[in-house]
Amino acid sequence: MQTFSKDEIKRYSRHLILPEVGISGQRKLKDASVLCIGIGGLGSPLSMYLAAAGVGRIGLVDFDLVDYSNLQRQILYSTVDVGKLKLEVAAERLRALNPEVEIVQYNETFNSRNALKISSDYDIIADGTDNFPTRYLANDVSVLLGIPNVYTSIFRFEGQATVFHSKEGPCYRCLYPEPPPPGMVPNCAEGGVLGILPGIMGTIQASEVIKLILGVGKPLIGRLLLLNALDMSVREIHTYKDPECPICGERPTIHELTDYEKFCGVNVGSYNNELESDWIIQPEELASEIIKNPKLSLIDVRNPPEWEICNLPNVHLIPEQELPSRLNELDKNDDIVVYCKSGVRSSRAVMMLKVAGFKRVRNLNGGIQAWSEKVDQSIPKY
Amino acid sequence: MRMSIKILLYGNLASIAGISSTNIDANTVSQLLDALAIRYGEVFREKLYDSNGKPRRFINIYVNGKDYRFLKKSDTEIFPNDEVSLIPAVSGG
Ligand SMILES: [Zn+2]
Repeated sequence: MQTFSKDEIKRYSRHLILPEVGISGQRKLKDASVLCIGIGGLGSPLSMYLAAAGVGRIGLVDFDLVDYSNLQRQILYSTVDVGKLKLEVAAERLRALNPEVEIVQYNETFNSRNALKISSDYDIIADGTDNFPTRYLANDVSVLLGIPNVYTSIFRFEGQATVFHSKEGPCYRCLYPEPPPPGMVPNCAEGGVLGILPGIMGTIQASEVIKLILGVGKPLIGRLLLLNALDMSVREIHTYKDPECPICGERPTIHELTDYEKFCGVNVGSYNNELESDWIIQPEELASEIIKNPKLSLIDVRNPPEWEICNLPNVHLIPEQELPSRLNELDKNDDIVVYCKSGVRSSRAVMMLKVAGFKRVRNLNGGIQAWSEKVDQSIPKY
Repeated sequence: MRMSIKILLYGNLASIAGISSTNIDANTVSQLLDALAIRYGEVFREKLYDSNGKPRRFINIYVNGKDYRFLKKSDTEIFPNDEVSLIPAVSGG
């Protein structure tokens, strides 16, 4: 049983005088442990409010470095932190905010090999990751360990929040049995996101965590909260446990963690795997070919706002999602080079064109970012 | 006068359609999806249906807040003034 020092009594006084919290509730918070998976846009406000509230042990999993493009929304980090390990900066910031809480750092990817071991030390996990494979992984960990997974995810101006707790309601697989095919749903780096949105959703996530620990109010179990910041509307959808759910249903077929990248059809870090080497072109090679071969056709598969930030000259802009319906604008016998920001979307576009019967199509390795690094530094990175 | 169904679009579906709510006439979910695909074009259709012409599994469809998978799926009947939401999974963080 935890006791409180005089300083702690002062620190938590606004909680202590709340009938719904009080000394006994604050003690529950101090006894509790929460694992924050990802400390980016959602994880920033989430971990800060959990630390401020006095959650006794907070685990952080992340392996990224702070980038300039994070600062628009990831409020744990400042300009001076660019290039540093997020985990180090976050831990320092949270300890400064509240030295009474223990911050545990996991400088690794959250994956099938370490996820159960890491998570088994926690009462609750909070999924603030940015990709589908890790979301299915976090779900399966929560079901297999029987602990709640407080979930939020965001897209442009929209957020989804719920609590997955398979003992009392549906899990993520009940709600979304299958992931979208790769490229079908843009992530924040591809589609953009309103910087404030993870702030709103991350604080909703923190509220749900705190409510679960305190055992007060009505948790978002079996309810999906949908927030649209553009019209500032909030809706609630009832979600149901699927009797046929492969992990929490009546006849489960999943009893251990699996290969989530395979399940989601992605291979992070090696997107060119499916392309043979003669379907890939390096930025330096492209630079010399553009001069030698005036018939070379360049296609940009990014979205128009990205085009406005930077582009290559004499390029045909066809956003990836419009490509299937705009093939008639291209000649199957042309010598084509496709690019995007980093080479992922364009690698999918090259595969698509290959399947559609195009004879010579190549992916600009590393996208316009690599072009900026290796050929033309006047092109801004974003 | 016929009263139509209210449609709420989320995620990329709203981005492609350029609108987050609209009205459409239909008697079943499958008619409604077809009408939407006609109205919003090829890119929208490709997001909505897989290569076998089935609605994609990562898009949840709710009729008056009830998941159509637990009703009669594409054959679920809809009536004037019903509200149908199309909600794709999103993963951003
Ligand atoms: Zn389930």
